[in-house]
Amino acid sequence: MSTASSLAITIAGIHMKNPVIAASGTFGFGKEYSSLVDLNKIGAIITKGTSLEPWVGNPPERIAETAAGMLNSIGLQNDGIENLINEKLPWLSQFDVPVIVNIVGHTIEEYAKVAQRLSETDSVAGLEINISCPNVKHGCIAFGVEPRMTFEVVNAVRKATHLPIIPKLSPNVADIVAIAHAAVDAGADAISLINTLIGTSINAETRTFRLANITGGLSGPAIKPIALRMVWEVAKAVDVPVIGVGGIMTAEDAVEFMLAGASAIQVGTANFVYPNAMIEIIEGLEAYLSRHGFGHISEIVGIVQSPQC
Amino acid sequence: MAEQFVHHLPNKQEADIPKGKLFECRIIDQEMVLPHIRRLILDAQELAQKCIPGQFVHVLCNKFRQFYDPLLRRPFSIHFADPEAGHVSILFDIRGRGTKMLADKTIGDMIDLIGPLGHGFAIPDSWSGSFLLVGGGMGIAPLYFLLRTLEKRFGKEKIKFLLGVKTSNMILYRDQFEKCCSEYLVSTEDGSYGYQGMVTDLLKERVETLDNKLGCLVYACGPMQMLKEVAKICHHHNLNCQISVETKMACGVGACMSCVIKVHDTNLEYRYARACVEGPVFDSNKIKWE
Ligand SMILES: Cc1cc2nc3c(=O)[nH]c(=O)nc-3n(C[C@H](O)[C@H](O)[C@H](O)COP(=O)(O)OP(=O)(O)OC[C@H]3O[C@@H](n4cnc5c(N)ncnc54)[C@H](O)[C@@H]3O)c2cc1C
Ligand SMILES: Cc1cc2nc3c(=O)[nH]c(=O)nc-3n(C[C@H](O)[C@H](O)[C@H](O)COP(=O)(O)O)c2cc1C
Ligand code: FES
Repeated sequence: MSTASSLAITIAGIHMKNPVIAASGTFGFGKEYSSLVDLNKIGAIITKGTSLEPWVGNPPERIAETAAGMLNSIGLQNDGIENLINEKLPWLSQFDVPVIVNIVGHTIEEYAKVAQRLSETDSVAGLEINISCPNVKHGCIAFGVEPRMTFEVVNAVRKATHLPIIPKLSPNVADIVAIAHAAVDAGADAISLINTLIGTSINAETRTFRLANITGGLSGPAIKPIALRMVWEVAKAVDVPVIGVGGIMTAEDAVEFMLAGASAIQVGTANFVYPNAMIEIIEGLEAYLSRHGFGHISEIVGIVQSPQC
Repeated sequence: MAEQFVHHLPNKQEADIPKGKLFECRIIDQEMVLPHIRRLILDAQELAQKCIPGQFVHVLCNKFRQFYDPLLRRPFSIHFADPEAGHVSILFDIRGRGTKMLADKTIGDMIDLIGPLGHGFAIPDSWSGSFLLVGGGMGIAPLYFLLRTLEKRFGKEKIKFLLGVKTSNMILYRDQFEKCCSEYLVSTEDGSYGYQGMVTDLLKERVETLDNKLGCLVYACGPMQMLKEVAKICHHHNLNCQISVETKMACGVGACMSCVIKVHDTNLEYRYARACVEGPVFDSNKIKWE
């Protein structure tokens, strides 16, 4: 049996060589990392969140390091959908890797328009919907904090495109399962979770907040236990595939997410620390399968057991 | 009329991104320059061949990759590169946890880094005018590589170096700097050596006395406040000025958008440019100073 086939999967109709995906916002548009990582080797690339018009982003300082993690308040700076289509996607299409575009909007109409515009291209394998964006019509609360709004935005995207859609859930909610159900009811083909957790950081010496925006999104190993718990809860509850993300640095982390029920995983902050992280995770997954006698990666999805007392 | 230096600092957002690579480099020398300042010399054959002054390396300070605190890499300017010997050095100030860990490394230890990164200083192929280098504190780190490169290409007579430090015992590698330029002037904030005051006051004085202002290229690196003042002085006198900025960086390769600095834009009132790929060296007129 070839090793390539032991990791190959299809999620939401998107065929991938392996279940290791570059997380949105942490891998740019692939080009930034192309001298460091062989893009042909990874499962898929999810691009930086892209909106209808360019977004300027938040003022700096935009990052603060925390214990085993980082806070970011980038503010979804991006050059807009036309720039993505004209400059970034053509470059990416030279590689043999599915490109999933992470889409953002301030209103439901903006999400739908971006989705519709991307449907007109032939270089996009699917859309990941970032529902952590501020909803300007509802006083800047995120779309994904409430089942009703989640349903509305996902449903609008569903109607606007034939492409596979993957809502990416925000962990900053009381009941993640309720949000996941709303996303599936609205037509989600798969679900990504989690996005970053809202936090802040203060410099005691200067008695000031470290981020210009005061709050930011926490990512990195610090959030792994929360992401793992949410993946486990949601994977049990819905019948679409779940893509796990949050603090994955090593193959062992990736295996834990898959045992919890993730069919694929995304690597985010780890790319900054060690650009080779995704390649090592792919190799580590193969090694894990053969070490434990599994024939295919799908065999380990969701098989975690309760400890024996 | 001096030749106009049309330099090649990228000014497009989609500037060609320098292609850094991942290296494991052996430390071949470690020096305690001051109690809180270290210089590391690394065996880095490939890096030494292809880096230019103003570029930087993104260093993993942790002993092992799976120590996650501190998590992120730290950027350091290339202090000097010797392509013949295959050496690259960095000079750094112990500021916090990352630099403390880096300072604990000794000869023989391996360092994991990505480089060379960023757009360095633009150096003209030929130049009949002069060069004025302005360093503030640790800002001398990249300026030494620039100084040596300019000296090699144009001769020391054309180069002046202005250094600003808080107090006299912060003047590092004085002899090495002095022998590469025709004039080496120091300002100390406490007046313990040289000119008393800020290096920007010193710059102002020197600029007034230049006979060929248009033929003078200014290069500066130091704290943001200093750079802002340098930019103002140069703008006032119409001098071509390049500055190297320091921002907080996560990826170092242009992917995360964390390291931004406000710049003028032709279409918008301003935009945020990524210092790691569009900089860290910028034409001072490009920055939208606040
Ligand atoms: C392109 C570039 C080149 C640099 N070159 C050099 C160099 O040659 N020599 C050198 O000594 N330093 C250099 N720096 C600054 C260096 O990166 C920081 O001092 C270092 O990251 C601090 O790490 P730490 O873990 O010790 O500090 P932390 O524990 O993270 O913080 C300690 C203190 O350092 C400050 N700090 C953290 N990151 C930066 C930063 N990027 N810039 C400025 N201050 C920071 C913090 O605000 C805090 O006050 C450079 C920075 C950039 C962006
Ligand atoms: C700097 C940065 C930028 C991000 N930008 C986006 C984005 O544009 N869209 C999105 O859905 N998620 C974005 N994220 C969230 C990541 O994709 C990921 O969900 C999160 O970082 C958790 O994974 P990690 O711990 O592996 O980084 C960003 C994260 C970081 C650190
Ligand atoms: S540090 Fe990531 S874009 Fe500059």
